[in-house]
Amino acid sequence: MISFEAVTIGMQGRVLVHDASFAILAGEKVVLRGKSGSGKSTLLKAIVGGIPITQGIIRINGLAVVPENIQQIRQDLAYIAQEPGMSQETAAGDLLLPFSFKAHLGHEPTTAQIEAVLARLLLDPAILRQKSATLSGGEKQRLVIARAILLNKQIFLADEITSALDAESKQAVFAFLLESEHTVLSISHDPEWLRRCDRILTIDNGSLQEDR
Amino acid sequence: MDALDIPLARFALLYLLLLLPLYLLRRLKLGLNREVLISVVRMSVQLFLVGIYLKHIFAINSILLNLLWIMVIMVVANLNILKKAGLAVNKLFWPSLAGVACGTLSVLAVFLLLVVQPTPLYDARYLIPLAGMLLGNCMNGNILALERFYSGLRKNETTFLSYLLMGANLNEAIHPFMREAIRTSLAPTIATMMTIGIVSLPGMMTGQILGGSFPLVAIKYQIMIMIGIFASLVISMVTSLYFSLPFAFDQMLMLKAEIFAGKKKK
Repeated sequence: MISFEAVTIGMQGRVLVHDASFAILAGEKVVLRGKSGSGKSTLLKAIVGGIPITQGIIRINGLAVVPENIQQIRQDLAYIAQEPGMSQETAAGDLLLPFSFKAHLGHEPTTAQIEAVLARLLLDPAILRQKSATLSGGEKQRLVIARAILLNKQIFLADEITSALDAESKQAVFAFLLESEHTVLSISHDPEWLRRCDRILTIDNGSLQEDR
Repeated sequence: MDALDIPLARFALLYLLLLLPLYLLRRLKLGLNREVLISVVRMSVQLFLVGIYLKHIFAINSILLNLLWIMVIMVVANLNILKKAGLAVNKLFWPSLAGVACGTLSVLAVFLLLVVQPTPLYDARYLIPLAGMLLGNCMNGNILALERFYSGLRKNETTFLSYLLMGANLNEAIHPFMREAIRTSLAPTIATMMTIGIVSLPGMMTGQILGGSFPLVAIKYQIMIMIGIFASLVISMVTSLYFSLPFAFDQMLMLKAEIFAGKKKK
């Protein structure tokens, strides 16, 4: 669950989000939309503790986003960027990167688990042997989603999650997200995703309102 | 053996060497002439002053004065590092200085206490030029390392954040950026060691040979200084980077904007 309680976010003297209050319940699929530069990405970043908020409280599963809780909060959150950066040589390296961190050592997924997740997102397991640099934007996005699933993330924050996907893989991603119990807050202008999600939040001139 | 002194009149002829390059730069409309002239004048004045100063410092040869000199050049080098790396002096002065001191002083101690063993150990003729050479190289390496590291993090903030969200601790999340910064900064020194002696005779060795040393003695000093430069470079880079971390990240482990200088100077 994500909740904003009278949250104001300002950057470089400009107020991007003013006095916003809303709650997204566990399992809900919510779209955040607004004009370019309206503060959508800033809002997502504030949720993961990437930028400080000026006023109010953001809570994730009841825990306030403050330094004392940030490590625990980040365990539940996944952020899927519009153009995910790949830092390893192969796709397998990028998919399994978090399992080289101390926090996940010894919790590597089995081959069967990996293949099952890739199949749900219409990714051929052979992709794992490919060089990361040669992956298409859509493959990178799905690989990042697969990584979040393997890490057991509960809340997905996504920036234009379907922008780089072809029609077939988009359907696979939609189907996965809608059937899953994950909470999803995604920036999107995709008409189909807007239609199929539970609720739409619009950000305009710093104020946040619920359209549906 | 001593090097031939150059009479002042003939020395002045040297400056005529600049006429052709200045003409060429002007023809190419590079707009560099003013900067070149200022840098030549500064170089000449600074070296003359340091020559006069060193003459006295060598004559006095006091441990306090020598140490004070080293401290002063470390502070100047440190200010230059932060300025050229585009970082805020008031935020990172101490961690960066501590890194520079670790790299320079540790290698200098090995040189003087174990390898050269001059009498007295603080002999200005050895201490000051060796410290200057180490520090000059540390300075250039640290500028590159700090600049690459922090600008890399700033440009790739989302990637860095994604590492934190994948469960990385601060050390794990900065590791790719640190690897890139250190690799880039060490590349010129490694390349120099690969070709030294083949393409060029290094300045220090040439100076010693001109000054009357036997080539084999000069080579020993040159090898010592190359190894010393490499060691001090790695030590100062790594320590400066690690010492700066607690000052550069906030409690949410995000990079603080205020560590960057307001206006980046080249």
